[in-house]
Amino acid sequence: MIRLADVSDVSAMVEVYNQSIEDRVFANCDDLHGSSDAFTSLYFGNNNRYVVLVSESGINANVVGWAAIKRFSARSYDTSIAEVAVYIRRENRSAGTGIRLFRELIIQAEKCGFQSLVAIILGRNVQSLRGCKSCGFKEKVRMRAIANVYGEEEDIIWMQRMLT
Amino acid sequence: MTIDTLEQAFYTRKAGSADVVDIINKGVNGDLYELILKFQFISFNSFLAEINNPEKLYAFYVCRDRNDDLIGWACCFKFHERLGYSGSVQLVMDLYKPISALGWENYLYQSCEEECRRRGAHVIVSFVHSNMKQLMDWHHDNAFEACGNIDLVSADKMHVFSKRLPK
Repeated sequence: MIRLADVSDVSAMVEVYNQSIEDRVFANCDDLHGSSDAFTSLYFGNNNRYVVLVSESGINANVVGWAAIKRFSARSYDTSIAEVAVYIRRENRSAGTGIRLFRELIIQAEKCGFQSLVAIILGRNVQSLRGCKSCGFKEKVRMRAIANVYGEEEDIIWMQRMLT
Repeated sequence: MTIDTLEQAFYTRKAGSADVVDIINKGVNGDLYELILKFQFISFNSFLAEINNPEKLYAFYVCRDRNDDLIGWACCFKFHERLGYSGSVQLVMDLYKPISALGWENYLYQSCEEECRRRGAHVIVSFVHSNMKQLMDWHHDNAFEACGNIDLVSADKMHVFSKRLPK
């Protein structure tokens, strides 16, 4: 089940996020997050336009993934564009959870009046690139060797999807 | 006096407190401060304090003419907070006079680039709105690579450029 997240979900979100760093799946070029404070501020410090969703599974309703829209880091002042983030618990990856979250996020973003969404993806993260493409995102920007991940230079790709 | 050379017409220096006061008084073209820097720094003075921290990947230079009038400034600051971007900086240039044949804007930019390189930056990123044709041409002329663009409202675009710095 996908539902709107609240601050009580932050610890689970951080856990899922850190898994993606630990597993070296090229989810992003961040370091592990030790506390929930930065997450709370980043994802719940803005107004309600910036939606956070969680996907729950099982009788205990465990959080198996989350998705969020946040200010586009390259144009933080631009209220027409939002940046997307989707992270899936390691044992639930490649099971369609990410795509379902993505689709719901697009619906929510349209309701909130955004005109486009941008996904920022490491060039080597083929799975996320494919997932974004299947949700209507198109590659718009490729910055070659701009990031350094696990000691190697990596391309960063910006994919954009226009909303109706 | 006939001005034949860059040195006769302009000079560039690392920005100081007096320059910041001038920039604030002069007003920042295109709301650059409001639109860009305020999301990075609380105020211009806090930005200046950060810039002067030798541990950080920043640069901030001004260009003045021989009458000491401020004619432009350029700065570089950390492109993104995430660890993997630690060698990348973003360039912002604000030019009060048109780009000239003398190339004063190149002089200004070079000062920033050299400072960033000394501090360990390996890539400079720059965003240019599609209505700033002259600035887009300047990026092409200065060995920036065109990385693509993002669609904005009303058919406008934000073009993305990057440039690798020699080690």
